Amino acid sequence: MPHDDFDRYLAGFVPLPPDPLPAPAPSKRWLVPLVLAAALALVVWRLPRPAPPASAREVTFTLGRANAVVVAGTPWKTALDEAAFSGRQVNRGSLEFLTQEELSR
Amino acid sequence: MKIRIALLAAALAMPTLAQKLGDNAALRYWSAFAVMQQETVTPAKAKELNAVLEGHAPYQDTEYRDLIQRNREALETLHRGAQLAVCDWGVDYALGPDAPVDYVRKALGLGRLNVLSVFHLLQNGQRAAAVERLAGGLRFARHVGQGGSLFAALAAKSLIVTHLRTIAFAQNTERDGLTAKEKSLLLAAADASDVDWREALRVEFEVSLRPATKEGQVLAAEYLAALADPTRLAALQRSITTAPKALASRVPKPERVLDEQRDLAGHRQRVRTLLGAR
Repeated sequence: MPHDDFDRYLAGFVPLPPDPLPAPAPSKRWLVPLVLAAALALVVWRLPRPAPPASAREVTFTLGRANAVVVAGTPWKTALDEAAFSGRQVNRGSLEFLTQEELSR
Repeated sequence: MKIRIALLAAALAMPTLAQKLGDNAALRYWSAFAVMQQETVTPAKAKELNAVLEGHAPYQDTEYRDLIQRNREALETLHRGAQLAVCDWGVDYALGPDAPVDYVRKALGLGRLNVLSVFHLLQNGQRAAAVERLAGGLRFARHVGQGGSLFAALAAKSLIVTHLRTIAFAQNTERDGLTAKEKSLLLAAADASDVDWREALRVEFEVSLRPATKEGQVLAAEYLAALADPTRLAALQRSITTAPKALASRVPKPERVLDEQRDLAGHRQRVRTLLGAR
């Protein structure tokens, strides 16, 4: 190319803008702590916890509950047998419905 | 002068009052409940134990002696309480249906442990102590029903029947049977151990059911009358059927109460006959 032509070419040269940089991939740095926190929460959730005192778990036996037992269809002997050594298992058997009974009142 | 006399009289009355308040069997029983240990009685074990008490399974000392030993203090406390004439459980009836009556469940457990200890004593040749425990257990059972609602009456009846059954067992299995003195002691205890069904139903209606309406009050009166005179049962059953549903659904079936009354009387009569009562 003659020199003049090259100057003319340069004068008319319009440089193209560079290609845009590739968009950065969305950062997933937040994911790691989230997963770790969830795992920690799960571990803590499943840790064996000390049992609450028995009295906190026992359902107080009241006159109203006693009435619910005697009007229920359960044989009285069964209800008495279950009550006799109920201790911490007060929510069993024929006494089990009492909580629902009380709630529905 | 009059004031001095009044003060003196009050001072003299103080120890008497304190003595009366302390002579409440229920206070001893609560102490017994506090030291009662039945944690090892699993539901399966409780089932076996109930079968023994009903005579459906043989008593195995090796199975139960540890449980009895652990509850020795509770049982001894029970018997100190049973010596007292007065028993007031102090139920807070002002709370109505919310009044706690946990003592009934605890009493059922302790009373059954008492019968178990009788089997233990009989099997170990301690008959005199076993007879004392039976007599004391009957007094305790009567106390359990005092001033309570129907559930307490049923618990008392259950304990009385279990003790009566064990008296029959002792009479039938002990060589030469019980002595005249032992029979006399047990007969007196058996005769004194009764359940006041009318009082129990009165409490049931007044405190637990609170029949505010006139219909409710009439029904309560009819119920109490039917307990004294079973010929009124049919009329009572009709009244229950026509009563407001909210009340009728909470009224215990009177025929079941009458059955319990008859069952207790039958057990007592059998034991009286067995012990040679006139």
